[in-house]
Amino acid sequence: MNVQDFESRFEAICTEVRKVLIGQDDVVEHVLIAICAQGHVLIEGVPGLGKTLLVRTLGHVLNADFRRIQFTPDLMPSDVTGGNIFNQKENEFVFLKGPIFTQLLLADEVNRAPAKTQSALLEAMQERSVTVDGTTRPLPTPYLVIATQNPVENQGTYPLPEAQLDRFLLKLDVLHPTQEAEEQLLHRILRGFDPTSLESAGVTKVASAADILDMQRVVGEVQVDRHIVHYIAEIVGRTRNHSSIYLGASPRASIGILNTARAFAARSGRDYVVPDDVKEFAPAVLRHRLLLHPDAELEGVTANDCIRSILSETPVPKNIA
Amino acid sequence: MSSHRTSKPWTLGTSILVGLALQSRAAVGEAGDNHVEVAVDPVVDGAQSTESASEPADEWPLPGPAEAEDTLLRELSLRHYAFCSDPDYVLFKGERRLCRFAKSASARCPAFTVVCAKPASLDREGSLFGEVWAGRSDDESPLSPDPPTWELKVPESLVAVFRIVFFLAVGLSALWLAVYLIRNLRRFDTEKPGKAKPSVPMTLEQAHDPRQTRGVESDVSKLLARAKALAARGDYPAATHDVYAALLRYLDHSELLKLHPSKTNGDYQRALTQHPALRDALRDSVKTVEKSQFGGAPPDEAAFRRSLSLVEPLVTRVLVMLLYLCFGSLVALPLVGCDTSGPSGRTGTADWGALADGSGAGFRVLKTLLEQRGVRVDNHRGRISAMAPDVDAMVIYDRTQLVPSDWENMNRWVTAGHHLVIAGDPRGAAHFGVETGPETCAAPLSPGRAYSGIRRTDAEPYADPATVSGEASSFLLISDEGSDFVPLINCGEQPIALWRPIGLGTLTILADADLLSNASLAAGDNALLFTGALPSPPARMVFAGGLVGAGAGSPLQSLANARLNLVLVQIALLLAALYWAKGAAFAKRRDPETGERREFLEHIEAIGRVFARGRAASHALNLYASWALERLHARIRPGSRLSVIELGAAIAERTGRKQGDVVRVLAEAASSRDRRGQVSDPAEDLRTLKELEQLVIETGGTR
Repeated sequence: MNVQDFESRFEAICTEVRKVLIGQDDVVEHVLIAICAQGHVLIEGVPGLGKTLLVRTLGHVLNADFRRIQFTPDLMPSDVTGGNIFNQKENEFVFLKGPIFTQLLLADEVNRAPAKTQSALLEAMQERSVTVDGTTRPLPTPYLVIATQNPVENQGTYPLPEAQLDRFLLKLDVLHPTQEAEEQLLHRILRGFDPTSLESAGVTKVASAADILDMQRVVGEVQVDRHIVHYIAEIVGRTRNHSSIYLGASPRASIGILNTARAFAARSGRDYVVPDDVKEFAPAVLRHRLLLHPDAELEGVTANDCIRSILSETPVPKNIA
Repeated sequence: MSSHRTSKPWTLGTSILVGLALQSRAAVGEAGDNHVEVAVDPVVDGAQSTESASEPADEWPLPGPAEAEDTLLRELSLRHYAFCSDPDYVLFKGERRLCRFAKSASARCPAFTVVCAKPASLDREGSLFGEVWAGRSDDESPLSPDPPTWELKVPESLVAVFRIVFFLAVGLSALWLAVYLIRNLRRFDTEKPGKAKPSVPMTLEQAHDPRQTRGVESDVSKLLARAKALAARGDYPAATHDVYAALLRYLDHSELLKLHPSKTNGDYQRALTQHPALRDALRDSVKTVEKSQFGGAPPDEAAFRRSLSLVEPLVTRVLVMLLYLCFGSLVALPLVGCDTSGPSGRTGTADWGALADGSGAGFRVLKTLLEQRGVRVDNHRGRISAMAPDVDAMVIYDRTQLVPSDWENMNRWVTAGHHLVIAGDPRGAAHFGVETGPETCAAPLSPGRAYSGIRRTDAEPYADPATVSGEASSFLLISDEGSDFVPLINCGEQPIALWRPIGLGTLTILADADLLSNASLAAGDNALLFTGALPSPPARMVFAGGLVGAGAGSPLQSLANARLNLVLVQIALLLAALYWAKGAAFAKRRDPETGERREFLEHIEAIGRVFARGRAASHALNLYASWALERLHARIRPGSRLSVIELGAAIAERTGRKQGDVVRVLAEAASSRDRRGQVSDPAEDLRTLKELEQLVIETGGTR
């Protein structure tokens, strides 16, 4: 597969997903970019925007194993990872895999579970493996965790710690669709569209896990000029010196920007990264990794504001200005 | 003789012309000259003429007394001279001083005395000529002055400015056009490698340090030319980059986008959403350039040609339009240029200013009579040193702004054979060693030693000059006792007019320019007196008023004339001191940005959210429970330590609550102390805290 094949395959996947999900084209593309960049996604949005439908459809289109975990306050870590169960018949302990053992994992409302349960995802997201009772078991490939959280209900929630947030490649803010998109959705419902039945919506499987691995390989072959590397490092470096930012982004963020920029370049049919690719994904990669000063928060400064100011001050390589 | 005093006057102008002609010819010693007899004075030997008095006047035909009187009466009867004949005429403030001639001029100007008898408080501002100029004169009045008969499209003060702007624009446009044509018509020699300067690749540091001066080319045409030169040398990557840079610069200059170091090509393309053609051209160029910059795939000739074919038509269109605009301006500028000509088709500028003023203070009578004698009379325009070659004589009246160098120039001009009359300019007189006396002379006028009477060959002589009447405002003093000045006209014993030869020319100084005015000429035998004083008429005579020399030759001179040099220096010093004291902020300071203020409640809410995120409820419960339990123990059974159940029972008994509820609250409070750092439900913690507080209140108050 080359970049042209990558581009066409990417477009095909997006087209299938858009048959079901209307008005969220950017989110679809970003999630697919994250898959190709071997990263995990945190989606923040109010209920009813199709977050679960997105992941379910993606799993269907990619013909990938899909599991959903609804995080609740009483969810235990073993409910996520699985555990050893004594088999009386066999007279031995048998490991019963938890829902985490899948290719596409939807961690719905991940901030509703206590930190102990949230941390069960840490090893899986980073190491692509799960350790239970001392035994490390690998997770299938490709492996993607898509977590969701509700930005409005703070009662009874457990905000993700910075260590866990840092393991998400992208944080996407899902907004309400436009009125036109919403009307289009309603018309579809009137025509008998059933979002729970993807086959009836005409969604077909256009890719497989092997295709995803192939696409990830193509992304890995996209070349990056040293000026682009310098550009990325400078952007992330400025997050550590910004007056409103208490804690800047880590090198994991630099890697994240690099990988997403490469994936986006491949999606654009290029085998090289340009500054636009970096600028396109820097906000999504950085916004959940920044800790603002309390006084900046009190003044209404957001992480997006800080990122925007950094990008507007960082000189683009090879700019004639 | 006495009849000459009242009925045989001469116009003063005629007298001046005759006097000047005779004296100049006498100065140069021309043979075969006129018929006029000139009284010989030892001082003016150089100006003597040897002609006999009996020779006829073939060059300066002087009218007889009766004819001269008729001429003067006819002139003064014209409606231009309302002060003479219109009793309703209201004097201008500048005319009031001429009323000293009213009595003497009453024979020719019967209304003059009536007009002068009116109270001075009724006098008008300005001048008669000014009223005519502004179109405020009453055209229906038969005695109103004629309006000027020539047109001036723009005020004269703006003419020079427009002229400068026009020629400056023409010059700069021509220069720009020449440079542009030469640059674009010149072909880059492809056989000479190295002629074009190759683009210098930027270092990484330069690429990321906008503060460094990189000498980046920003001219669109230069970039295109450089691109073609580079392409001719085979450097297609650099050439393509220059084409791309040319397009971006063109878009920046056209304000379709704004170049900035932090903007990407994607940002520039998004800025051109409303201009699809430009966006497509940019997209193509960007693709090629980025592939070269970041993809390691430099463009070939085909890619360069394609890029150039897209970009060049777009950017050169603007240049062509600019060229058309420039040509259009060059054509249009003359059409809207200034008409710097004065009176059209007239005799110079005579119909203007004092020469066209028919009030008592004007010189209209003088001008008319001079013209009747064939003298070309003009107002002098421009610098005093810019004298036309055909000017024979100049009359300077009123106080001027001339500087010593100007007077030196005039001295040289007179020496070369011209005639200068200085009337009423003390500074000018002082330059030649003559001072104006402070007192006013009211004695009868009489001819001085330099005066030479004019006698004709026909019958009636002219009036006895000794019996002329009138008044002079002041008399002249000769500061240099050894000077060649000779009294020309005396007022009593003091001279009011002096004369002397200077080189080939002559100089006449009058103490008072009012002697040349319409009111003066209408009075007594003033005209006759000056007729005898001035022999020869010049072909062209110019009059220069008080404004001559007021203009400046340069801006600095203008400032000096206005005495502004010192003021400007002081202002500059003050600014320098302020700049030094305040620093750069003095020049560039802006008002500090005032942030938007939030309500206090918003701050509290924000702090509350921060505490909530930090799970402050658990901590608060922990702290409060420690205190509350101690207080409850102290209130229920001081000195002893009850268990939770015992304490709960005691509190329930005292407060009347259910024991189970009280025990539950106490147990939760006690357990909060034991689970520090553990995760808890903030809502539960807050509820426990409130219930515990209620127990504390009900058992004895909050303290």
